[in-house]
This record gives sequence, structure tokens and C-alpha cells, in this order.
Amino acid sequence: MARWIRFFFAILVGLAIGLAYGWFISPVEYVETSPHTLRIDYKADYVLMVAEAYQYEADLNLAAQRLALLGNLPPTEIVSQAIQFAQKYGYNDADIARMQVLWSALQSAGLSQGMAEP
Amino acid sequence: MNNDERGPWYLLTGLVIGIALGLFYAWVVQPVQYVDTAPDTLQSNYKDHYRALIALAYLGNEDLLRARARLELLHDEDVFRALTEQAQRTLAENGSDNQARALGLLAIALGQAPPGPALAVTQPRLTPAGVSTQTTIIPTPPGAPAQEIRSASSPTPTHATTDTETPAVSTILPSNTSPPSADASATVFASPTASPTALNAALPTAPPTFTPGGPFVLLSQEKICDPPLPAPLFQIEALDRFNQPIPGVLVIISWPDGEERFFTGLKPEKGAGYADFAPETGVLYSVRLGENGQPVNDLAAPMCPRSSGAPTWGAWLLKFIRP
Repeated sequence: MARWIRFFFAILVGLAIGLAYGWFISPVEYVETSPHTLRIDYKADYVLMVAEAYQYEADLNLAAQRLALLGNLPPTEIVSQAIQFAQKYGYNDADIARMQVLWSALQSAGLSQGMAEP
Repeated sequence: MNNDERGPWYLLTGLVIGIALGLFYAWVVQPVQYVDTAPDTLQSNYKDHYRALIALAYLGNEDLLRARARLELLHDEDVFRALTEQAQRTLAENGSDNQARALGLLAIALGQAPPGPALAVTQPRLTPAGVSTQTTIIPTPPGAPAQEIRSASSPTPTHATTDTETPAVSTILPSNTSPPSADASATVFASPTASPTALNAALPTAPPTFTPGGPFVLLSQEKICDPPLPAPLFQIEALDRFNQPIPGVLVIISWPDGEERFFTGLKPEKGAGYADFAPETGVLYSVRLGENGQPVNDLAAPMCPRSSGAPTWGAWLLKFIRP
């Protein structure tokens, strides 16, 4: 009986070693991620870049396609979240205004529904 | 053979089974999930997309420092090369002209940026307490004190199982609101991706040098035979009325069966207003700069006679000027 207990104890030790190795020493590495996995501050900056590019290109459809890479939410919602983040963390007024311009344009164009990824 | 005679091998067996189960669980069943990733982990095609967006955003805001900081997030070994290669790739794959031009202009602007301390944006690094710190040294105008941008410390997860963890704080807290002096350096707290007013106010920007104007006309056409080339070449230079090179000018080369468009400045080592094209033999080309530029027609691959042996290839050097 003691032999079986020691056997299962060995399994538990091995399990712990395996988990430690798999989670901490050599975890699965995601090096091929997509924009929707970006941290929220990077996402907010991405939205700002889309707004800045929109300011230059004035192509709303292109802007909506770029925003679609951030997830399945409607483009207006994505921009809205970025604006809230920007306001909370003190982005300058000009940048917030750029995003608001983009949000208004998307709203006016009826692009408040989600778009498929390009 | 009784149990005692079999020795401790059963323990090793148990250990191996346990490790296998542990690894299976850690790598397959419940792997570490990164939901708060940074741009440098993006798939290469998304990195291209991100890079192009940085360039287009730069044309929108003309803030070179911001564009440079954003590019650093991609961890390209050579930012300049990454931009120019992507610009050329975009054109070669019949991608967006606008995008290629933006990439080219940003590359040129980076090449022309005033000297200053090297930009280094570090990724969040974990301390044992799970606190991340970021330090950025940003270029400043000559003579101005260096500025350090440091993000406020914040918990940065190595993995996230919930969406409630706090992102890097990007609150802007200028600690020195007085004008910078020679012996004082301002410390600004910001996230790497925030776009603080302090950045815009304190740092130089280099607006693109391209300015739309009148049509380009041919200034000179010269056959270059020295040194001889292994293949014929058209060399094009775009100049302004002060004979200064202009980057980002659209070059249109057409022939009976096709057309190719690219921009000056994508080979900045040869000059900001330079572009070249390898023509095929036996084809007549028309070259113009911009949609309304003066075309140079019936341009063939230049051959250079040699005193001995077969003729070699040379180059046509076409200089266009915007009067």
C-alpha cells in the first residue's frame, strides 16, 4: 500500500514540475498575434492612428476596415472605448478631438454595426 | 520477484507520468494566454499593417517623434530599412500608392531628423513584484536638455485570465512646468503609446518635404556610360526650383504593354529625390513625374559603345525640375 502512495506522490511531483515548466519556464509563446489581442493602451493608440490617417486620407471605409482588426465590436464602439480611455488617461485635446471626428463620421455614415475583417 | 526487489523505478515512472500530464495540461489544456500583447508580437502581415498605419498617421499629424516612438514598438532591427522595403514591396505588389508614399516619406523624414539622443523605447519589464517600468529617452532640439519619459509603474500581467487588470497608466504628470533650462530636465510620465501634449510641445517635428506644386519638366537628359553597367538603367532625379532634391514624387513609367509607378526617395542612400528603373531591351518607354508632368518619350535602354568588344549598358540620367 505504501508503495502505491509513493507512486502517486511521484506522479504529483512530476505534475508540479510539468506545470511549472509549461507555465513559467517555457510557456506557450504567442509571437503571431493579431491586433485584437493588443493591450488596451496600444489599442487606444491604434484607434488614434486610424483617426490621424483618416484626417489625412478622408476615407471612412478604410478607417472602418482598420478598426475591424481590433475585434468584432461595431467601429463606433471601438472608437468610443478609445475615447474614454484617452479621456481617462489624459491624452491631449487635439488627439481626443481627432478620435471624436472619426466617431462622428462613422456614426453619420451608419457604420455603428460590426464589420467583417478585410 | 517481490516488490522490494523491483527497486525504486516505479517512482521514476510516476514522476515521468506526472511531468507528461503537467506539460499536457500547461501547454494544451490550459496554456498561458496573452490577451494584453504588444505590437512587436504581431504576425508579420499585421506588423506591416501597423507600420503602414504609423506612416499614414504621420502624414496626418506630422509628428515625427510620435511616429518614431510607435515604430520602436515593433522592434524592427532597422526601422529605416523596414520602411523602405515595405514601401517597395507595396508598390511591387500593386498595393496602395498612398501607403507606399507614406512609408517612403516617413523613411525619408527619419533619415533627415535632427541629431539627438537615440530613441529607445523599452518594453515593459517585469520586476519580481510584478511591476512594470518603462523608460524612454527622446530626442530634443540641439542645446535643449534631454527629457526622460517614464511610464507610471503599473501592474503588467504576463498572462491575463480576466479583463479587469489595470493597463499601463498614461497620465501625464509634468513635474516641471517651467521652460526647460540648460541644467534642468523635465520628467514626464506617460505611457509609450499615449500622445501627450508635452511630447508635441517639447519636441521637434520634421514635416514632409514634399509639397504639391506645378508640373515637373525635363531639366536635362544625359547618357551615363562610365562605369559600364551589367544592365540598362533609368536614373531619375526630382528637383525643386532651387535644385534641391524632392522625395515622394510620383514617377510614372509607361510602355506599350504596361505602366509602373513608384516614388523618389525610396533609395535615400542615392539621394532624397532619386529613383531608378531597369528597362527591358527593345522597348520604348515614356517617363514623367506626376500625373501632369512633361513626358520624356521614346526612351530606350541606353547602349554605350566600347572601343574594343561588344557595347555595354549604361544609364539615362533624367533630371526633372518643378519650376
